[in-house]
Amino acid sequence: MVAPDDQEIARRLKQRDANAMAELYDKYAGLVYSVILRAVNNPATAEDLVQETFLRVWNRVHTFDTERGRLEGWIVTVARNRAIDYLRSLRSQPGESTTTLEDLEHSGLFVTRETEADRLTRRKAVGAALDRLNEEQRRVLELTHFQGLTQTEIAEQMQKPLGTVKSLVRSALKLLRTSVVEAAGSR
Amino acid sequence: MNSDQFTDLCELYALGALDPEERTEFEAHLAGCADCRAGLTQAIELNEMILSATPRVEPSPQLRRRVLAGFGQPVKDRSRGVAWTLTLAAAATLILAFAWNLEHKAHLADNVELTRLREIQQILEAPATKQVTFGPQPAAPHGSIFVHQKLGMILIADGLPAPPPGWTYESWVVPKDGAPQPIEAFRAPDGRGISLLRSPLPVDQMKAVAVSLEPTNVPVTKPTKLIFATPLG
Repeated sequence: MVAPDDQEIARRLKQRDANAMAELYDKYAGLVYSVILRAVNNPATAEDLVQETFLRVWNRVHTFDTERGRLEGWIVTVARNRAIDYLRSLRSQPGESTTTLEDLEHSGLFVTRETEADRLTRRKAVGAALDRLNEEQRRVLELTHFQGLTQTEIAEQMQKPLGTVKSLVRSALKLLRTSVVEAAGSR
Repeated sequence: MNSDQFTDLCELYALGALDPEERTEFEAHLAGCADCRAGLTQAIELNEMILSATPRVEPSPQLRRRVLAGFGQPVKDRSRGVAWTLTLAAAATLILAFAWNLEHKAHLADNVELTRLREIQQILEAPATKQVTFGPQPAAPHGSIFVHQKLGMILIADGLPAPPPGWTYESWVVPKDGAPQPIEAFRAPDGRGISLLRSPLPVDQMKAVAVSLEPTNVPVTKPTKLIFATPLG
């Protein structure tokens, strides 16, 4: 079930209600800005990308499922992808990656049948699990999620064998997945 | 690669962070594996939770005004209590609607449009910008012109008839002395068009702004079919 506020905001955005955009901004600008700033580490660039994120949401909201869609999930992914697009453009590798990110932020991917309470429980579990990661596990997740690097690129940057990096990524994600499953099972 | 190994890749695939060869292999597997398709849904949500766990840093209060100004929101800057005028808000609404109509699928087009929106926003926000309205009759072309001596000019016209096939709208500035100067070709989806002049405009030397129809893809020299001209003073 979608958070009622989000459902209403999304519905009004589809009707091109500019006041709904203000509500969306007030609710998610902090999150959007935080994710982008963490990736690009430059406040001025981050603000430009925040603007681009909200513009993109406005332009794409007609595809959003107001019954089952997760507005927060969608907008945070759009924000992250704007930052990664920017970082990849600095690394001179736009094009292929950009197309991939476009495909992976289609709002139809962000749907759920679960309650807001269930998601909150699992989110808390993930937050706690992130604290249990060791430094190297945390580092590889930073590079995949906030820098958009592939495992090969991470291996080069960390100057570690690719197998080691894959093992770190796998173990970190497994710990997080397990925390989600356990949180779901505890309800 | 076995099924468990593919499952391990779901999060990275959802992030667009797989190497090209891995991505191709994963997508081929995904098509025939229901477990991995379910795993992908969960992976997308896990990625969101990781991103959302980012410690919060609040953006500047000015950003709120900057972002929402583009959406026609009559914004009160919460930190300073500054209200936008309804006129500028209405203009911004038209601009966003225009951007919406112009939307292309390509990312590049988004960036180009965003740059243009920023230039428009800069003119709208400048304290020295002056507004001229024209054509009060709703059935005829009507709208506003926003002029800034140093930044340029925005023409917003509504009620434009659909151009015949092979014809395109062109905007012009008409000097007090000399021939009309073309600004740019523009589209008018749903009868609404916006034209932007990105250079200083010596208003005291200008007589009017005009819109004409010109044959598409033909260099313009002078207005071919004048639609309207409105004085700047």
